[in-house]
Amino acid sequence: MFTALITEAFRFTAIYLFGSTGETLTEKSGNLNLGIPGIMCFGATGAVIGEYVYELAIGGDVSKMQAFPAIVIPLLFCMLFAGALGAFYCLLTVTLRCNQNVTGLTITTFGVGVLSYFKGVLGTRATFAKASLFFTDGLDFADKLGWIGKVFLSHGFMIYLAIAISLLVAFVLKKTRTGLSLQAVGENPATADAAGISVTTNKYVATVLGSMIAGFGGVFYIFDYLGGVIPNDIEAFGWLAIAIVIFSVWRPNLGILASFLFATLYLLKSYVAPYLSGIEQAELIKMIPYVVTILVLIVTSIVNKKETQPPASLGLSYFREER
Amino acid sequence: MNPIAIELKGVSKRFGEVVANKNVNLTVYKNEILSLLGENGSGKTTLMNMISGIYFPDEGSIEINGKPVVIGSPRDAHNYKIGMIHQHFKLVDVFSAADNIILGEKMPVYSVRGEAKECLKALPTDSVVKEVEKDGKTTKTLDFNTLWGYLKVYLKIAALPFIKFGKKVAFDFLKKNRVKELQAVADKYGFEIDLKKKIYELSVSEKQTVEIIKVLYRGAEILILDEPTAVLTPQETLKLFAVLRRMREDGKAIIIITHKLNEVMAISDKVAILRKGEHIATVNTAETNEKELTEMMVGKKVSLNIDRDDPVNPVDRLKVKGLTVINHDKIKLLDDVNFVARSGEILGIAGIAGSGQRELLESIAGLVKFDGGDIVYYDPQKNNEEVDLKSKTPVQIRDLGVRLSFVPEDRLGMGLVGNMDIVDNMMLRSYKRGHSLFVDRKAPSKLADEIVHDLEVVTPNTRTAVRKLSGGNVQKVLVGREIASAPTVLMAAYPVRGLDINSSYTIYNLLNEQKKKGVAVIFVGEDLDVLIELCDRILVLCAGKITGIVDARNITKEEVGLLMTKTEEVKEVE
Repeated sequence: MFTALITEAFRFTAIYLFGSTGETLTEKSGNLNLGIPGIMCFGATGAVIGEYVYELAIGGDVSKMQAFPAIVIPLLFCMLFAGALGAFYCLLTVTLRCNQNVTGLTITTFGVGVLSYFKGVLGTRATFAKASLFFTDGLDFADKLGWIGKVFLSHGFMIYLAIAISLLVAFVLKKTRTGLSLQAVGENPATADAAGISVTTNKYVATVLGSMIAGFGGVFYIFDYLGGVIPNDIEAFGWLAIAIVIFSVWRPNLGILASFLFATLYLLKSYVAPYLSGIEQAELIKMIPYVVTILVLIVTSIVNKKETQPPASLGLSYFREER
Repeated sequence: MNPIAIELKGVSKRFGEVVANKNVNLTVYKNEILSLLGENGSGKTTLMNMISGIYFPDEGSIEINGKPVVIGSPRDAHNYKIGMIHQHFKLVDVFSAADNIILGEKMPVYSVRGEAKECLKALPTDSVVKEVEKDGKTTKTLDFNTLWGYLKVYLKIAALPFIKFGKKVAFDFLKKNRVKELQAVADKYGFEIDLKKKIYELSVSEKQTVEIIKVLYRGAEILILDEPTAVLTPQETLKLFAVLRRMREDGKAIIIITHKLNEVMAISDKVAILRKGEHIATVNTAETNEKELTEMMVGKKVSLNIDRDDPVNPVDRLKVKGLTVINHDKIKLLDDVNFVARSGEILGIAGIAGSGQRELLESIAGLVKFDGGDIVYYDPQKNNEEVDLKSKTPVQIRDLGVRLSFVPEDRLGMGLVGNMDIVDNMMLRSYKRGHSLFVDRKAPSKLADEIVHDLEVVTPNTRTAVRKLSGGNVQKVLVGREIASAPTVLMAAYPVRGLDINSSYTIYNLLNEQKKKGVAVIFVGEDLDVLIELCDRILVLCAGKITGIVDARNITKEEVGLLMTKTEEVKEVE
């Protein structure tokens, strides 16, 4: 049972990890994008539309479907949709200096609504079960490598993509000038501006890329985890992804572990249910991630170490001082 | 004679109606430290901002190394090797000092076109076709050596864009030993600092050192320091001066803005004096003295004809004993301040901006926790019984029956709520009165009407948001509200700042009226002419210390000016 739990949890890490990596990247630029749940939904919508377009293009004959376009087309559509919504968020908050919280929440509402519309429209017409097989296809030799192979290597490519992106983001933030500039923008935009770093460009690029990454989370959930069914609960994972950003104290590499933990706790319920006396206890287990996030927030506030604090100008818009 | 580093010719700058700089001529030489001296609002910072590319001059020209230049942005200033160290440091707290220094550093220019031209020079000059004589016949053959020579050059040119990209990527990686490399440079210049440390672990003076290293690292030849000693202890100031002297020997031109005359005398080679936006003179430090500089700085006395009656039987109303306020950087903002404010008297407070005026008023108002001393209020309703105001909140102070009114410097931040109308702003002081569940709007509304009528506030009606009013009218609303509560102590910080002449006189009259009513008025001002004509006594603050409490009727502007700039002697370091 334990192996089964860990195996599923490892795979399920992807949805949290895409979301939290994207949000961390965005928040490092000082943009508190609360639209992430909506952007994950919107990105997923894009992927669904992309897959549908591909199916139409090959005449609706799913047997003619090929792996490469079946994977790449939805991913590109997802990037286009999620990126566009991220750019829209920047247009409102960076260029027009709207309130970031209000804008983010509006975008979430919008994204969730759009996905729910397409669930109604496309959910009955198209089947993505065939396309989903390409996403879940794992390595052939994984089973031969004993339990390690089964737990960690038997999954579709998206969880590995999630880990790779997260490590890459961690590397860029820590080891490159690009990362240094981006963090300067999130910490102290006036200083970055004076040093000749474009605050606007950095915010746009980080938010759009972050949105694209987060959008992949939605794609994973539909095409990999659910096997091609359009769901209506992506939003919940989006909020948890934001919680993971706090939990991992704005470090994408810690985000991998945090996402794994959250995935395990989320799935734990169905594995321990037979041993519990009632449904109430199982539901309580689902609450653990939220409680843990609050605890982490309290602990980091008490410790009050500068490194574990959010970017100093998170949530604030920047404009040059004028006389 | 040293060569000229930068020269300003007839530079003027206006902000709407206000003339910040008027026809300023200034020359700074290499190997020289120039002090820029002037009162608050004399246009020093505006002038320096024009050199560092933040503002663009309306008239006049700037020459660097003898060539006219256009400085349109901070980036331009950087290209002309001008570096400015602001009063408020521009550093990222969570980065190490070293990372702050390299932040925003640009890659050395790599022009593909230029490199290609270089490569073309290596083209072989021989022809590819070679004529070979063999058996008396000349046959044409390809010379593969020459051909390879051509090919090599073109291949290299084709590779240039990729080389550029590679260099870009390589430059983007942060070097592991970057701290060590910078540390070596810093040590060479004699800076005492550990560049591994994060900015938040550094003291103020160390942060300033980081700023200076940052500017030097970017190759600045002209350095501007805006009041660098304001935040430093005397020992740190000496260290800074040593650094500045070393940079002077290194051929840099240095401009330092400061109010402290003893520092001007200690560090600078020349002093340029600005007054009301105009350049008064540039003198050699060796040929002048503090008194002469003060005279040039404050100018001739201007008569304002403000009414002033003699105080009517003044009694002690507020006593401040040994007041000390220390900020989180362990700097004493107020140091052992002792004075008494009397009823029926206007006590003026003079001093360079940031000498502790704000902290003093806020301590009395109960907004700042002070680290030492006592504040005692003598209650006139209880036969001048003593009331201790130490560590009381504004609400507690009011509940004790102390009628204290405060007109803060930041009118729309601390005094009024900009988005609320005049009536609602009146209610900020009265909403807790009464026993009804609902607020009383009638009284504040009546008060608002009275203020608008009596003080001639120009506004469409009392339902207009105060932020839409002009500065003078905002101030009238604020002062009107504060005196409406019949205070016994009235504190006003810069109440006429930004006001036109008529509004200013309205405010003076209001203060005089309060004085006649027996209120103890504390007036923080910046214009010495006003202070001398309006107040009964003037308390002079300098760097958080009282340097004198003088009788305003028998003092000259120069004497107050000298007190304002009087700090401990700066000793020379060897």
